[in-house]
Amino acid sequence: MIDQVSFEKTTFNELPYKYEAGTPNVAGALGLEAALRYVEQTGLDSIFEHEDKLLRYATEKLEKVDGIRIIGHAKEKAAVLSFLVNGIHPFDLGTLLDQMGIAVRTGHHCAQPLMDFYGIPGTVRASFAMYNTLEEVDIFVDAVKKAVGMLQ
Amino acid sequence: MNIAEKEQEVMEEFSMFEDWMDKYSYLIELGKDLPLINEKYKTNQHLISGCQSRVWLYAELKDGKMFLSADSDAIITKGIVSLLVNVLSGHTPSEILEAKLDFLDQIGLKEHLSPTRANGLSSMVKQIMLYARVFQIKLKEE
Repeated sequence: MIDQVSFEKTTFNELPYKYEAGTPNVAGALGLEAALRYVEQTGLDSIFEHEDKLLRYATEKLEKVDGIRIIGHAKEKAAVLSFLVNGIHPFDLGTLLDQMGIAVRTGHHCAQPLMDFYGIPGTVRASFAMYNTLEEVDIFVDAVKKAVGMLQ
Repeated sequence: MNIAEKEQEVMEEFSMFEDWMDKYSYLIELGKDLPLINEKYKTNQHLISGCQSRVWLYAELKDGKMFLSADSDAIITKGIVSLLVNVLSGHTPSEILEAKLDFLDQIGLKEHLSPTRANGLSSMVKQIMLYARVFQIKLKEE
């Protein structure tokens, strides 16, 4: 944000207004407030417990899939589950899951050195959030089995 | 058959499929066929860069026509690659440059062409067109 502008020189407003040129992101700020209230109301602890439950249930079910390889066994994982199945390219798996209405991330996840460490081209990664349900985990694992069937 | 006719044929083939499963099963089958590229060309030099799946492409000019061979380590990509190769290979560089390639969109595979997907396909099409342009210039010089 400027203070005075002439052909000879420009001076700027004082901080913080100097870096607040233009219309502020009003909708964004209000949206953020609503989001913060929502999270606060629901409770971070409950959110954590729910996500953790989803992660454990998903891991348990997925481990039983033939040829599965789960990547990442840290004790205190956040609710993300990375895996590969038997030489199937993650992109193929992701494409079929997408057709079945399931969104996962595939590839090197902006972490190529990590993929090199594991010696893999990438992974399929499911990410669980507070709005996911146990039933959705069931649907997800069934879809993985179906996709694997089609690709082998 | 010219390119437009080949594209039409692919579109007709795919219009037989009622649901996505059939469409993708067919693509997977196409992809499972023998590799389309000579092993000696499966090198970094022929790799299309910037993709999640690896795509190798080799193009050569013979008797004024451009011949393509390609491969990918992702089966679905390979299936689509084989569609592209079947449609475009064996035509003159000029014909290839003029190809609309609508068929990929028409058969419901446009999501595979989105540049943000980084799946090698749009990079591959670009590379094919680059080869075609180079070969076209080469032919004019002869």
